[in-house]
Amino acid sequence: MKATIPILLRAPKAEDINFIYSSWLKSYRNSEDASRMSNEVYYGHHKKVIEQLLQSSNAVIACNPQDPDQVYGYTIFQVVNGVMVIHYTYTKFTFRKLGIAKEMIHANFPMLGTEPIVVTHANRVFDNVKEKYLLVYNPYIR
Amino acid sequence: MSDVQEKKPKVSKKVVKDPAKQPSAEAILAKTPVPQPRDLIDTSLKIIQAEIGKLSTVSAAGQLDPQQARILTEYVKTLVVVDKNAKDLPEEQDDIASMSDEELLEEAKKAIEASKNKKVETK
Repeated sequence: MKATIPILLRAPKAEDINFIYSSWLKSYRNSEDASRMSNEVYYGHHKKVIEQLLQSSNAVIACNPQDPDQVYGYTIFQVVNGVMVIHYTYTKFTFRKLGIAKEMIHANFPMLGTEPIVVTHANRVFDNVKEKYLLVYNPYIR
Repeated sequence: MSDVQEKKPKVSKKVVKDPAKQPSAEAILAKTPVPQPRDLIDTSLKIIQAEIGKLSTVSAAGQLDPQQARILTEYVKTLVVVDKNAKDLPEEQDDIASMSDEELLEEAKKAIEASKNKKVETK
C-alpha cells in the first residue's frame, strides 16, 4: 500500500511534539464530539489526554524522504490485547488524499482492511471509511 | 391575416464604449478585494489535489501513460514546495492584513506601474 507521494516513515523527534499537539488539538476541535465543548473545557482537558496517550503509545511520522524535517503527517497508535488501537491519524491539508495515512497504518498493521481496528478519536473521515477498513469507534480504550 | 408574425431582422446593437469613461485599472483594483496569499494557495492546492486525484485513479487502474506519470510527479513535487513555502507565509499575510486600504492601493499602483514599465521595455 504505497502512497502517491514518496514518504519516509520514522520515529518522532523532540521537534515534532509541538506539531503533534497543535495539529491534533486544532483538527480534532472540529469533530462532532469536541465541537460541543467550550474552548476552555476542550483545550484544557484534551491536551492532558494527548499527553497521556503520547506517553503510552507508539508514534510514526510520515515525512519527505529528502528532508525528514518536512512532516506530512503522523499516526499515534498502540496494540491492546492484540488489537490495533489508533488514537489519532493526521495528514497535513496539502498532502491529503494521497494515501499517506493508509501507508502509515499499513506499515504498522498489515492486516488493514481485513482485521478490525479500534479508533479512539473519530471525525468525518472515520465515518467515510469505517466500513471499508473495519474501524470500530471506542473512545474508552487508553 | 396570417398568424405568423414576420420576424424582424436582428439589428446588433454595438455599444461603443468611450475609453475615457472606462474605469481605470486603479479604480477596478480599488473595488476588487485583494486576495490573501493563503486563499490563492488554497485554491491552487484544491485544483492540484483534484488533478492528482484523477491521475491517481488512472494510475490505480494501471492506465497511466508516461506523460501523465510525469505530470503526476510534477504535481506532487509542487505540493512539497508549496508546503515548504507555506511556513514563511504567515508573516507576509500579517503584513498585508495590517495595511490600510490606501496602502494596499498604493502597493497595487506600484505593481501596475512596474508592469507597465516592463511592457515598454519589452516593446
